[in-house]
Amino acid sequence: MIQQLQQLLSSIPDIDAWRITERRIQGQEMFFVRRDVDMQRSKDVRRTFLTVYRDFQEDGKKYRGSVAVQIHPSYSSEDIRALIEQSLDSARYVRNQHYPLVEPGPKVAEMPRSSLASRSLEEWLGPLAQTIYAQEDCEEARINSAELFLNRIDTRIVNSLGLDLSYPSYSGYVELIVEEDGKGEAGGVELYREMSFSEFELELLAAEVRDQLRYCGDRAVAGSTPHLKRFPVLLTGDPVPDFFEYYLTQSEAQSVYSGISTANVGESIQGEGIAGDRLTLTLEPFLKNSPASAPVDVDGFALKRTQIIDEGRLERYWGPLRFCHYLGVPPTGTIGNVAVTPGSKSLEELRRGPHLEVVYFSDFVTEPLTGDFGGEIRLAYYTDPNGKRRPVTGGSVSGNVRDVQSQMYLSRETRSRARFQGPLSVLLPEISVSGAAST
Amino acid sequence: MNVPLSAYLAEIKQPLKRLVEILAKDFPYVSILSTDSTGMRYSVRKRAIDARQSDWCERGSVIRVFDGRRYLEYSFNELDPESLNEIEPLAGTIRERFRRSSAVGGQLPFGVPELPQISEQPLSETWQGTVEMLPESVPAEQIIGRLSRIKDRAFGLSEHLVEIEVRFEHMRVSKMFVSPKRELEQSYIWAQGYLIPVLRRGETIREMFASYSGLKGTELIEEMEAGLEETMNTGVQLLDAERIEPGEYEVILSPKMAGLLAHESFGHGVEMDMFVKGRAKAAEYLGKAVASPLVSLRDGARAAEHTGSYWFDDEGAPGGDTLVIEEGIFKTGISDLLSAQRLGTPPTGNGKRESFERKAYARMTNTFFAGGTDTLEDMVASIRNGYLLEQFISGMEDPKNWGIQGQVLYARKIRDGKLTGKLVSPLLMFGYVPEVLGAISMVSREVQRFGSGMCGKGYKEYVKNSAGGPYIKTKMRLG
Repeated sequence: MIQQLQQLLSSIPDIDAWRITERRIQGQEMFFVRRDVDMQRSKDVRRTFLTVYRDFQEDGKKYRGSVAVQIHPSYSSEDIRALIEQSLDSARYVRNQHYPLVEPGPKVAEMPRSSLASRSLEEWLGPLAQTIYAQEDCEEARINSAELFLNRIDTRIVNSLGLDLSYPSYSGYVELIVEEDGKGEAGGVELYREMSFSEFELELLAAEVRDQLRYCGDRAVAGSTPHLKRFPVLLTGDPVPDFFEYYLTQSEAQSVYSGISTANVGESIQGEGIAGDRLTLTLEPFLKNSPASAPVDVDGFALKRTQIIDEGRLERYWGPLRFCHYLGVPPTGTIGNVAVTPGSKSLEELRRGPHLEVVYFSDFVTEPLTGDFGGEIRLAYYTDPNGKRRPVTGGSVSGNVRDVQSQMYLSRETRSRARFQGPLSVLLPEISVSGAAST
Repeated sequence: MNVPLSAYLAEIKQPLKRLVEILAKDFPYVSILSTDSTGMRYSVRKRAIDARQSDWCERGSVIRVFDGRRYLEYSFNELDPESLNEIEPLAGTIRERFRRSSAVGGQLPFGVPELPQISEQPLSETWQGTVEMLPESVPAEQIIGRLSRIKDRAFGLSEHLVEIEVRFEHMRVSKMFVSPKRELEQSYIWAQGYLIPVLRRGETIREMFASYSGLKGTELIEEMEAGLEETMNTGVQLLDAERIEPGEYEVILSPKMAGLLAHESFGHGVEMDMFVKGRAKAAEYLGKAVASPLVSLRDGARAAEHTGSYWFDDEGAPGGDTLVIEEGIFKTGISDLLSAQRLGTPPTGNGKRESFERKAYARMTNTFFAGGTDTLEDMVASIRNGYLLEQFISGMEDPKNWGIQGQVLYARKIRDGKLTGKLVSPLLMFGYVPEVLGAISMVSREVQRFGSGMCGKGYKEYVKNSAGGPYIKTKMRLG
């Protein structure tokens, strides 16, 4: 397909530049209800994306218009030619400040070989399913259903400047529903968990499933979250990466270019008078077991480990070549993984004193523009003023990153989970905790 | 005008019928869903324009077979009409793929239940939607020009505006379903648009959004043009919004918020693949009261003409019109074909896939509360201390435990029967589904529907649908 496209592109006048990104995805999927295989699926698809660029000048200023389209494998040469010509015509009205494409450069870093590469995807389905279901041997809860997805993705990026890169990657995903049938007053509860990975890490996977089963058992006997008004909240596990999304948006080149972020390099991005832990955030192209790991970004820009925030101070903006070019700063490319340096206190220290430790939200959301965050509590552990800790459910927490950032503490214990490596927990000073009316 | 059918699907129809015939010699049931959906997305911001094909575009096929015990599927897209001249080798490759899948599944220490075989009545239909003007025939210059003028006008409306995204997206959805007994084709158009201004005053920054959608073409841009001023006014008001004091309040849900409630409470909660898994609490309430007698709720691809509409679903079942709740009584759920087979219930035409690459699940289509007899004015007048919840950000279902959570962009404060003109933002609404639906005490007449954005099942399988309702008065926890 790429060769056919290149030939066609070379025969069409008025194209100033182009880029092709092609992904062939081979996948195996297995769906379980309880311990029965409900359905098996496989796929073999090729997705080819073409961006055509057209340069023009107005009032002495250079512009670069572009249109991005998908070229389906079943398109005929005539279909493709017509689509390119239409896209080129449309690109004349996409009036963007000029920017360069990625030039071919030195050899990019090699994608680390995944352990999933040692067998066919079909052969991994069995060990994956067996590892998950082997953890069911507990009293707390059981597995209601599971969906397993394994993909091998072969990516190739080619552009009109001679760039030609390719790399393989693996992407695994499990959706797991665990349930408890009526031990507590709630009369049966469930918890939902999604797990993304790119390696077969048996112990890690097993531990995630065991945690999930234990949490579900706790949810079954959880009482109602008391109305605590303003109270210290410890976020643990899945909500933690979402909390840091605010800093990614504030430091992103596109946010700064558009004016929605006013963060300045060299200044504190964590506010003034920091009494808690100072934030250090690094973007990592290669994070073990992350499906977002890649040697290059979608433009073909070679990625390398890049520190964005050091001890609360913004070191540099990050983003694709285009927006970094607009700002006149060195490009970093779009890097898919985030690493946050652990904090000064152990989890045991963070758990001292009355607090609410939330491990499961219905849907925890941090609004990356304003810093507002919050969610309804599905499972939390309430430590009262007497030091007694008990599971609770219902109610909600809400706050704003800017109001808590100077007094937040990050745990020394870390967790590595799809696209994120960093503290397991974040302690926030007193934020709003609304109690549950009922369960 | 009628939306044209896909020429590509017409070209591959006969070869695919032949493929089904060949595979039917080996498998008791075979079907193929092929898609050819195309469209564009235009986005105009203060200093950037983006034009690209919509992420909803797809062209490919999924074959489903029944091997005597269970169902297997294979999704692929490298199927050009020329390769279909040699159909036997293709059938052989597909047969071998299914044989390998069967072998892998059979070797595992898990049960393989004997599932019922799909039984279809013969059906051959072609359906074309209608639209004022095909959006693909409108030049990019015109669309980008109109969106740019909306953007420019916005900057004239407030000195606090920092950035605005004006986005318009259109899709022509074309699908074909072939099985030994069915030949179905459909083509229709939907469009959606967004106004997303970002405003700043001092340290306060707020993002507002308004969305527009329907089985429409570029005529939707006129609605965006007309809605700009109100969107900007609300955005400016958001700069003065306060945080809410958490607690239980009397609330009025706008038609958009009522749609969210319908969607998250008795939409996801009655998807019947959840009944098969034992994940739906609703299964225990069939024929029982689950809501105030003022509440009736429908779902169906043919229950309304909106972005959740289609003629047949992704399993070849005709779209339906299902009365889910009638005057407070839970009547029936919504079902995909395979769940219906297992539960012994009639399929309701709700089997939907994110694309040909994904599995079909029981999904919502157009889901909405029916209208009542009250007025918004009477509702406001009846509240001493409460809120009018107008715009949501997102929601999350909890089918087993009947919790409901909604992230709300803003609500209008009501005191002593009057709107105070003050906003609270952002806020969470949450509650226990039977309590929230049971507390519905007033329902206005006019039903509005909204179909922008997308709906996931959990955190994946994103599909298009619509939701809505009239203004509804109930009680909810806000935080």
